[in-house]
Amino acid sequence: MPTIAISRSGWQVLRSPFKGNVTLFLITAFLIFLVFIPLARLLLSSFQLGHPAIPEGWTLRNYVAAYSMPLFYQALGSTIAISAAGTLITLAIAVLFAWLVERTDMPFRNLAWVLILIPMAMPGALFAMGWALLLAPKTGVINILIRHLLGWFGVELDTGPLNIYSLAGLVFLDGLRGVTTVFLMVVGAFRMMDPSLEEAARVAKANARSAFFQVTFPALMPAILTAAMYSFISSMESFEAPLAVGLEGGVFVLSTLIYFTSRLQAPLDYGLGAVFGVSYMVLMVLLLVAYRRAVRYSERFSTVTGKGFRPRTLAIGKWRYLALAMFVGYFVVTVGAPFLILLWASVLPSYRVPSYEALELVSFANYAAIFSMPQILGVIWNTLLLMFVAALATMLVAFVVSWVIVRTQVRGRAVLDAVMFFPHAIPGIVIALGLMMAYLSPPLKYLGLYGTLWILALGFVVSYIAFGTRLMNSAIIQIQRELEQAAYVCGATPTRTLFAITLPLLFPAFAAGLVWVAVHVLRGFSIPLMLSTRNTQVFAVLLWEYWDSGRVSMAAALGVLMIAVLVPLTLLMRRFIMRVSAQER
Amino acid sequence: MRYLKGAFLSAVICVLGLYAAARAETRIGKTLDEIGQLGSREGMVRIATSWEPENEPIFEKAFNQKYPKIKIELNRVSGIDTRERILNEAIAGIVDNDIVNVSGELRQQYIKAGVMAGPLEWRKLFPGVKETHFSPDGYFVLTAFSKYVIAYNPSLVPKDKVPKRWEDCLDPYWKGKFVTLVRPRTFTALYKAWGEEKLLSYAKRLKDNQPVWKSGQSAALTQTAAGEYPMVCGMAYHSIKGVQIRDPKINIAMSIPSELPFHVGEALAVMKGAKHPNAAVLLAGWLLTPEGQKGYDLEGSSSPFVEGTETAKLLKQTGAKPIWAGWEELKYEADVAKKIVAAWGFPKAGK
Repeated sequence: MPTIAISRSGWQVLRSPFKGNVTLFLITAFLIFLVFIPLARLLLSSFQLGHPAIPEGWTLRNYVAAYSMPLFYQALGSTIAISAAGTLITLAIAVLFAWLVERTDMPFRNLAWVLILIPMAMPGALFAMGWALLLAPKTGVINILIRHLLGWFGVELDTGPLNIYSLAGLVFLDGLRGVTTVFLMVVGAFRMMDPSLEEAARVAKANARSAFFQVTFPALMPAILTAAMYSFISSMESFEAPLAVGLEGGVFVLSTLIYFTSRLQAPLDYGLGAVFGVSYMVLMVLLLVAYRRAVRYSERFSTVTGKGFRPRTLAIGKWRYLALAMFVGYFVVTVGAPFLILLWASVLPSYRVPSYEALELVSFANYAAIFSMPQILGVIWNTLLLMFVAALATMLVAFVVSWVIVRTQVRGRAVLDAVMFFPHAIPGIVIALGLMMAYLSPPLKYLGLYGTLWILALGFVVSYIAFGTRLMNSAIIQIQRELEQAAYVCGATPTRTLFAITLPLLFPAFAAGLVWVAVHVLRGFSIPLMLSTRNTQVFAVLLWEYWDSGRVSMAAALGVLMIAVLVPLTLLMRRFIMRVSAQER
Repeated sequence: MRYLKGAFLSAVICVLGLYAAARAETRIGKTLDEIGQLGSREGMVRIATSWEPENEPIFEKAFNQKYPKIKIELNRVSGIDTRERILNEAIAGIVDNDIVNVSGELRQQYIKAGVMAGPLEWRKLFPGVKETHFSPDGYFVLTAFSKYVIAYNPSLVPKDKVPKRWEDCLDPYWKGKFVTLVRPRTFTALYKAWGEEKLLSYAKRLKDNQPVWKSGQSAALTQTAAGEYPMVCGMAYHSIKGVQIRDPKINIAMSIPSELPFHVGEALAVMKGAKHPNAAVLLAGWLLTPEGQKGYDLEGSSSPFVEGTETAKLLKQTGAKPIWAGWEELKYEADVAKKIVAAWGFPKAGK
């Protein structure tokens, strides 16, 4: 076999691309600055009274007040309860769907994939707003229908029976919201599982059900548990749904408690908001550490071997179409029903329960009003620019950092990796509060970032950098080193190699990440709600302001337009995900 | 080399000059005449206000009859968060509004942060206007008054159950059914008449009657009109007018309680660093004239101290007792609000 002699200089480049590690040190320092300075300012503010820019002295009273407040413990309990119950629902649906798609002969599996991915196009806030209109105790369309049906049986109710403004309502919203992500996390494990384990069970006379529960399910348990922890952490960070329906039901979670304290109630209390933020962050870091420990040993349970195989699909006979119906039902619940009610609300002057009388009021005046707003062009421009800048910056930073972590052998890589993963534990609302406090007070105030689109982009970069580096880490591992070595042999510099060889090879993963971040920037509410100003208003803020000020119809019209943009973006993301998936196979 | 030195020095001087020009504040005239001339030259005024967008052209048309050269640009603010954002922007050096409607709970912070122009000699500039319209510290001009009433859905509330006094909200009939706003402006306005003990006792009993907490006034009204809730205990009169302007068929009615609390509604302050401060002063002064108050009649927040306004007529018609603390509320509103929200069990660290 012919061998290529790699020059000494080429190896040196690979071993030590950053002479003296100064560049690595600078990158790490910059990233630490990016991530930790706002958090340090948050910690500082938790010991201060008054506005962070004009503090009125030091105090421990914020901590005393927070920890002696029943509402804090109620919010903590609600956060954990909603996350735990929501995760169970999410897992049950996602695992069932993954099994149906990968391991059964269910028809129209491509359609099922589309049906399960499109809910990503429905921002959490719109999903919650739609369900608030469907399940409001008195005027919710579904409640009215149920009461009508019950009336036929002599049961007369004047409210309910369902109530979205409740803990159960939030569990329902949370349980359905995370299905797509968890599905994507576990579907690969179902696809790649070694079929010999199940075959052995069948040889030992186990029926299909026993084989699933005693072999398939336990074998996939590490992947499922990892997804469960991820889902739990994501649910703990949930903000939009608790904001849209929680306050009305008197249900606070930690994220809305922070928003309420530092944005809604009068007078605002930044110190207390900071204490809630710090406490929330500590809790999330502990959860993240547990998650990392759980994932660290997951390879021990690996069932994917080097043997070429394709897991056997199970014939489910007459249940095939019922299985497909479940996907359709999931789509109706997560997208169809909330979208239709928002569409209805969007064509009315103010929201009314669907009726013949209300049909007389139908018009497209809200859409006309949106496009004749003087600020609409600015809002669209800000949104698009933010999506592009935040997505590109996140993925470029993630790409360079991941390359350093995966490809080089320089010291301190582990620290860099940990720094990059840390923001995953910090909820968006906490990042936003930290950034606001840091960039409103000296010395960072003088950078002039507050009130610009850049601080929003910074917030999103910090929020999604963990996702970006995870994605790029696994993608870079897939690319053979020899390709880069060949470039070094030909005299290419590390930078040129990075951008001319590695990046093009990683394009599907890079593009998938780019679209993922852009989609999440468009549908993200917590960071823009905290950091945007009049000149940096984005679509999500405009929508929320209309909803919060009771102009439900205008908010619904904006929501319909937002979904119309997000659906094609999500389908585009699916194309890239499929390409990444094909590469991995 | 000398040539290079000269060029460098010129560049530095240019940069410093540009910086100084950018930082330099536009001067506010000393007399109304001078302000009028400077304001006309400025040509526009950007106001952060709670006016309904539908009423903006009416304000602008009437204003332009007196000041045809000054265009009004509106930035609509509502709730505390939008005003807090403007404060944060001003602290960060971004001044996008010449004149701002500052919330009661934030007025002290605006003063502490030093983001407003002044104090100005408002009383000297507009001697014909009642003194109560100008804050004693010289920062704020009171152009509109907020009054708080009880809103209800006439299809859901029987006539004999329509609340007529604030105490009616404590009736067990309403337990768990009615809405109260988390921002307690209605009740801080009652402080002047009730005192702290009665007010906090009322706040606790109101909480025990299990209201549904809402943050947005219009949101509470549209849901009430849609039939989700029958009644809102404590709602700004102008917010009800606002939803009625947007949807004249909306199913909402109001009850004027026997004690009608008033607040400083629109307290306008000229911002430090404003690009059009003279036009801002002219606008503030004009809003206090009977012509300006006609716009606030449409808003539902005109002054009870200007003859012929809708508010003055309403007081005569209903015989409601007005509760009005004047600028004194500036001293206590934030603290009283803190005590009320603490009584309601919401987070407050206090001071």
